[in-house]
Amino acid sequence: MAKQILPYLKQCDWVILSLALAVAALGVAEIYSATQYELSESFYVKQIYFIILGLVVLALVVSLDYRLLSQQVPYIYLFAILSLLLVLFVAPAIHGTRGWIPLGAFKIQPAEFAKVAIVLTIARFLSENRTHFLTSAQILKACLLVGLPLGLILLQPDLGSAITMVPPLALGLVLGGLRRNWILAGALVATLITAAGWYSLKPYQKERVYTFLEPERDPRGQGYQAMQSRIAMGSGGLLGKGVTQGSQTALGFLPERHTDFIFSVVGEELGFFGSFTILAFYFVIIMRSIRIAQTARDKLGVFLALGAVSVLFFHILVNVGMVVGLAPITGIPLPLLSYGGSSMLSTFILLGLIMNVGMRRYIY
Amino acid sequence: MQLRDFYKDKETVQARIPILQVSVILGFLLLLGGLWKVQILRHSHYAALAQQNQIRSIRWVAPRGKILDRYGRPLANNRRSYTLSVTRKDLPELESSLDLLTQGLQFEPDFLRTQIEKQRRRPRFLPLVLKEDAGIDDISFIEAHRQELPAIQVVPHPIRNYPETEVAAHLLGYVTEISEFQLESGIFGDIAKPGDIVGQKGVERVYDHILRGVDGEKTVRVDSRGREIETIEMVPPQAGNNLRLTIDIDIQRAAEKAFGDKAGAAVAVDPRTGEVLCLLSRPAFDPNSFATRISRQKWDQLLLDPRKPMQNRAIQSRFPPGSVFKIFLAVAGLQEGILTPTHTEYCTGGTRIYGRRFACWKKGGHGRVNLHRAIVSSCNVFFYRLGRKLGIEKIAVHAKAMGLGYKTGIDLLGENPGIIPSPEWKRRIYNANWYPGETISVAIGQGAVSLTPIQLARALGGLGLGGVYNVPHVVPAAERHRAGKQLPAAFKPDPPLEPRTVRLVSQGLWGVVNQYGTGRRAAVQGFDVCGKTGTAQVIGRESRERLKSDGEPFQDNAWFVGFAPRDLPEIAAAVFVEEGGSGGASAAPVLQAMFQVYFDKHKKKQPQDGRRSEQITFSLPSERAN
Repeated sequence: MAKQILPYLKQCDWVILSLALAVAALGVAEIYSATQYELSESFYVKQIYFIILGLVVLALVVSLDYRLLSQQVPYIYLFAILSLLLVLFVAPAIHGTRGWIPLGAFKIQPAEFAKVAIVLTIARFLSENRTHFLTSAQILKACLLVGLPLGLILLQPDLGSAITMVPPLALGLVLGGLRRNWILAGALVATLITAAGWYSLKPYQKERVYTFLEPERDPRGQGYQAMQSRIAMGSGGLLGKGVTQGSQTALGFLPERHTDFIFSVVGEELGFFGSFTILAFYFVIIMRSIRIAQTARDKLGVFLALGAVSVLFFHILVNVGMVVGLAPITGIPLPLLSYGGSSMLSTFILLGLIMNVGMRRYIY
Repeated sequence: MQLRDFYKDKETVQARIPILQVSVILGFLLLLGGLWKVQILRHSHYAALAQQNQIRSIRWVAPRGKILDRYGRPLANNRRSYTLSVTRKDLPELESSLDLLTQGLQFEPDFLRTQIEKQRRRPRFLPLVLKEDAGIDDISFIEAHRQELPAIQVVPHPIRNYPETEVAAHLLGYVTEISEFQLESGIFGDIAKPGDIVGQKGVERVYDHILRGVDGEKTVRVDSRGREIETIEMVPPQAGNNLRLTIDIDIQRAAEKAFGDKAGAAVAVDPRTGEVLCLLSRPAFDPNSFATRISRQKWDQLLLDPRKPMQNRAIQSRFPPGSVFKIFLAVAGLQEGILTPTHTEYCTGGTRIYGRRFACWKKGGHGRVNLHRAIVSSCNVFFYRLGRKLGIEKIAVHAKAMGLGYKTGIDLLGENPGIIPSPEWKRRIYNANWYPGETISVAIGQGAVSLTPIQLARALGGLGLGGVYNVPHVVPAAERHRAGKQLPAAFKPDPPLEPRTVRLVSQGLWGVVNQYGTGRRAAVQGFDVCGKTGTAQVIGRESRERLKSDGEPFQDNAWFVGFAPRDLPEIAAAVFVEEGGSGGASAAPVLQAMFQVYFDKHKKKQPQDGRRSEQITFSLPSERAN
């Protein structure tokens, strides 16, 4: 038994795992700092539970051959769609949107798990293509597969989560054999859709975009978050104020400081040094994951790893971009760092898929 | 074959992976650039902004000016109140002592928990308020348990206090935090800020700019836990100015006491100046209950109370004057020359005018009455016929010449102009023609005629003075000028009242109180009180009889108006009692109480004036005509 497991453990990418755990541990410290004056809610303790749970799930994902997993894709996809439908009918509306299904002491966010389902679905779909290029029928089918859950998430409405469905699709299509002309046409269509989408945005969503372009426009309202986030980051300077010492964080100027804006807390308390380090960790995780995709044994493995990477990279890009003022404010969490069980679990599942592919590249 | 395909299979994707690698590198470089810009290049800019975030301005509430009566006795002042609060850092400690606090500060169980829960969403640098307006018992409890309790801050601040509670509540008004609407509409000036305490209603409202001080500010720097670490600037508050009123609290108290539980209003003015000596409205409210946060329930209770305690009946409500209006009919008759002192009518208990029978209140009739007797015994028939002779137009002209049917211009808000009806008025309001029979009703103060107590007090005083109608006001001229508050000019009718008119009507009113009239209960020994009762039917007599048979007694509204002394009056008043029955029984004693206090204060020490009693006998000959 041990002899069978040992080769796998040797092939396991311990670098990715330890970097991920390091980021998550730092997240716990910063969540503690950000919520230290909250009454009777210990977010950081819960986050530790989420991490432990995440490791257990990661171990499970890693232990199953991804090819066996991909055979279950139809069921996984169906389950994701059903849970998204359930959200629309069952979940209570909070601030006009519904995204969480209450389950005992916890709230589950099906959109997070739908991301995993999409990565698996795309990978399976593209891996079944035996030619160099994709036909238009295949492209349409892929778009429909992603469009269904995306539409359901938009109905919640949760624009941020919905957008995260696009990168695995786009990346999958581009790398999976989209002809060059198609890529150019796709870029054009995407531009048009963006323009058309602008008119269908809700006023508060438009306001977010305006505010992003010009935060001083409304420093007390929508621009408030953007301004306070930058003040927290900027006042951290090179070395930061030290964990639990951030005045912006402690005085509660920063909204959503333990979830979407946790990176601001890092920036304030650990400075450029800290935020650079976190960014570097992410960079290594992403680059190593791409390397795993490059050396994957089969097409399924390639697309699984790439899909997972695209989701993680997109989250990091948009969240950190938002915090430093390069992207508009969307409710997208930072993987491993933001407080939240659903996000933590889905991140560990994605990492598990990547490591799974990596472990089995030489084993036939 | 299969194996070759296997790799060929991945060729496209393998070839394109570098695109992704480059994108990732570019993306991270972009983020790094963003970090560099915010954290390194613009560090000092954001650090300065963060510093600003740590600066707190704490309001230092200015005490409001006192409101004093004419002798400087306080009607509204401030009392020291304490707010108990804790900073957020002490929350965990507070959690463990909730039970002790609940017991010590005498809260309902779970009140504190919900109170804290409510404030959780507020910005975290604000302290959590545990109790507003804490008493001395609370403070001593906190002091005694310093060891067991977290650091509870005890912050003193002034709270408006009305030592007389309900007395003169409508006159004084009350204070509350400025409302969103008031803030936006700018009615309290540009300097008004959210959280300001401003006057609502009454003197507090009208003279708010005098009474309100300028709040000071303490600017402090706090550390990351919200604790004050340094005081940067202290701007002490400027207290508001005190405001002296024309009110005599002794007269006010006497009127309130005499009023009992009835609803209604009483106003007393000095006709020589227009100074209001007393202004009350019943039922009243306790303005103290607004000074601390009034509960929703209590507020609804006040607003929805069918007895309308928030309504200032002395100036905001109009009522049919009943027989009080006969005074003005007599004035009109004399001024027009239609009426002479020797003219008589014969009252058989009713009269037929325009084919309809109009009853006198005395079923047996008054017999032959002249003007004096008609006023003293309030004979309806006499005034029905006078009214018919005068016609509605002339009645209206003379009533309006005495300021009736117009706002008096008193320095309080929400005054009602009352109604002096005329054919023109009826056309405008109801688009209907005036019926001659309506004139007859108006002649005895029924029908559409409707007046406010303040109007009647002024009209009576003005009549007694010979036709000078000063604008009633509650703040003396000197202070009012300082407040920049203008009053309308005093009112002088044109043509002026003839001295004979004034003398004859005054004599009649004197008789009402001092002879066999209906106003005996208004008499003040040695103070020639002149007055007139009024009883205004709330509903017609027939329906009243019907209601009575159902066992539900239905009372009329009662009036008493008057002035004293008869020559050169110094005080004039109007008393209105809702469902008071007859004016002589319920309203006259209130006027008597006010005049008695005035008399005791200003007149008693003077030796009795012999000439005055002579004049009394002199007025008696009018009775001979009877």
